[in-house]
Amino acid sequence: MGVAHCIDVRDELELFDGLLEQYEVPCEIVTRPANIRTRVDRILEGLELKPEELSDSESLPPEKTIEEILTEGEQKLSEIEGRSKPLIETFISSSNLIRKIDQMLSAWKIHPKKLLAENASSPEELTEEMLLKAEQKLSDIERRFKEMVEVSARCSIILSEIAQLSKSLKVRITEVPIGKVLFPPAEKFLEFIERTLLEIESSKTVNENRNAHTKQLMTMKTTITKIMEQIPEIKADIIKQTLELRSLVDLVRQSTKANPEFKAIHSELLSLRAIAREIEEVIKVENNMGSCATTVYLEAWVPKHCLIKVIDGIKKITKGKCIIEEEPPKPEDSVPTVIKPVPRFLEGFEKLTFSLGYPRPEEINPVYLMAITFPFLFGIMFADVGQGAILLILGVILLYFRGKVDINKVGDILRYFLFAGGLFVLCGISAIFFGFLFGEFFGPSGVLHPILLITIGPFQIGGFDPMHEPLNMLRFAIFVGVIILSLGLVLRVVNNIKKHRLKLAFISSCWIWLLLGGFFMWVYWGGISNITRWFAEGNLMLLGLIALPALLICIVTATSGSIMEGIDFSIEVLIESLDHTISFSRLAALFLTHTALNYMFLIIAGVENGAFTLQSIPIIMVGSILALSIEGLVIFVHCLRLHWVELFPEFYSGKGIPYKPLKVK
Amino acid sequence: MDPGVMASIGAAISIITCAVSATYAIITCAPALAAVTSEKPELGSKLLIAIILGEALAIYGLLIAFMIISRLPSITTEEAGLKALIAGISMGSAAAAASVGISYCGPALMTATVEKPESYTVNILGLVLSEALAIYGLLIAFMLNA
Repeated sequence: MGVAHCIDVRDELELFDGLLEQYEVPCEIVTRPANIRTRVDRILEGLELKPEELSDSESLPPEKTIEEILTEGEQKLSEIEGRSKPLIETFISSSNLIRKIDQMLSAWKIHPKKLLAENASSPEELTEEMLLKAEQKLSDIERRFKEMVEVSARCSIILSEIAQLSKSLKVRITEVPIGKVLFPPAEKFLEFIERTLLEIESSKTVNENRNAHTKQLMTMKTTITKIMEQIPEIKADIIKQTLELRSLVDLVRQSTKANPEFKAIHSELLSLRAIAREIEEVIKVENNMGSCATTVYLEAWVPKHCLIKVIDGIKKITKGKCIIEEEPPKPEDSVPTVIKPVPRFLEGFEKLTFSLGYPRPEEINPVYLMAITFPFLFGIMFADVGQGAILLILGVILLYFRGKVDINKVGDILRYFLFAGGLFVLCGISAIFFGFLFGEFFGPSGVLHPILLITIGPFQIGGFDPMHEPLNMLRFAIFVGVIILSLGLVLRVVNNIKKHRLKLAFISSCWIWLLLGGFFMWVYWGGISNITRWFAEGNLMLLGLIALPALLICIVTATSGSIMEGIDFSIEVLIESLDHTISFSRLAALFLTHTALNYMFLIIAGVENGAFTLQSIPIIMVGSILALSIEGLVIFVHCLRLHWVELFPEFYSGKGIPYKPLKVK
Repeated sequence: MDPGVMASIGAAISIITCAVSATYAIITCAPALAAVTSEKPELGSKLLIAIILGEALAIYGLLIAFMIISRLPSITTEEAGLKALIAGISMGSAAAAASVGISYCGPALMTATVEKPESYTVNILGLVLSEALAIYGLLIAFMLNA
């Protein structure tokens, strides 16, 4: 916004009759950096890398045109594509292998993570050969596993048959010693056994061969049992080999990643990506400027102290072939406001202030004012030493984490809290202060006694218990309200003088007169209930303090408008002063709400005269959490409301436009 | 009537009316806020004020009810009982009035802010002024009860 009004050349075309021709950045150039970026991303994906932003990319070489840079980048990219092809292939085949192994393992119901085999020796051969070998080995393993499963199934069938046979033959089978049996058994071996079994079965009725059969059966059973015994071992061996294979493939991948070639490709890709990105930004900015084939036209707001620097810069880039015209802002221009950054401690207040609107250039930026008044009002409503201390500690913790945590990587709500660290600290300190004045420690527990700070006329600052003397508290709230409102009005006078609007400044001073005059009357005659005496005995005072300023406001406003406008405005001033002042009575009301909530939990917990027993602590904790969350939120909102509705409109329009300088990147 | 019973009725009226008012304000504002945040989530924190002000009504009711109940042993005369009853009624009615105001102004504020965020400053006046009604009721109830 602050930059540049972009010039729409189309409107001016007729005026200049062909002098200015609309010249847009050609489409091709716009899409080329995006193309480069997608290609880079694809390669990065193939190399299993994440596209990251380079934090310190070098800026574009100034002497080349964008087109040259782009062509160069494209050439480089195709070269890199060629170089990275074998690497990508390695990655694809190895990840396929790993996937296959994992599938196999999960089919065998083995968790690959659980059984990590010890690392195999580092590979010295070429990676492609290794992978080929690994693939062969894997199919070999698969075959062996299948065979093993088959054999074990057949063996168990044979065993059960033998058992049946032996039952029907009524022979007892005992072990016979036998030599080592090979695994896997020869192909014919199992078939032979099965055939023998069939023979035995067919001839079992014949009794004569019984002894021979028994012997045969015994031998067979022992052999098969031996074979079965070997199976778990074999299985473990297969699994071990598979895992070894897996770690080998992993190693291949890692060694590829550690390759210097790989690293070089990575960094080159990233820098290429950064360049493409920068070019995109430049093109985006250029699209904002009016340009024809040989000329670029731009208008921009520049802060006064930067003017010479900017002009010099433009002259240097264009080698003097430029026309620069300085123009001070005209009265009808809406000038953007340069907003000075506030220290990090106060950024919560900045956010609160600017959510109402940005200041105009000639207005006082109320962030620093708010950093004083906001905790002040918050502390009055949230007056409590204990809970204030919790708030303070919370704020300190938040401030500590604010420096450590990347603010863009946390959730929304957490981010607000991190911004509000300083706000929490100041509000906590203020709450502790007022807690001492009104004698609150986790509610009116009697631990502390109210401390009288000062007595101004009928107003006691501290030194009373507001639960029992609510009218004193109300008076105090009105007193605070009048102070805050007159502060706002003083700032309004200052703003008007800064703008050289003396008439408005005079009206605002009359408003202060009216406000303080009315307040004085109220104090002098002892409250609003004696309003008849204002008119009877105090009629002169009434004329001087209320009627005269109202009349002056009416007359001065009427001089620049009609008389009706003047009457209208002076009535508005009267009502607004009354209304805004009464509105501050919420300080008392919310203070009492907060105290009553805490008092309730004190009663439930049975705390009397400040004697916190051990059993009462959990209940007080629940009460404090409730007070901090619900009451804290309500009081926060009311504080905000007092600022946005009562205080700020006195001197702050919030209709400014923030200055957003033209930035590449 | 027994003064203690009268005072208890006052406390009940205060908390019941305020709770109903608070729900009414919340159930009208919260759906509007939900609709707004689905379009523009960044406005959520700014517009949450309507719901919190609605919720505050219930807290005021709680305060007055609590104050009446904590003073129950000392309410012995007919006059004191009547005062407590009237305090409850005035708090409850003021909260009801504020609730109606909030439930009309809150959604209107939200819909207007989505279209024109700069109108927020002006439009929030309706909301906060209707909320002020409850504060006035609270103060009067408090004075009656003190």
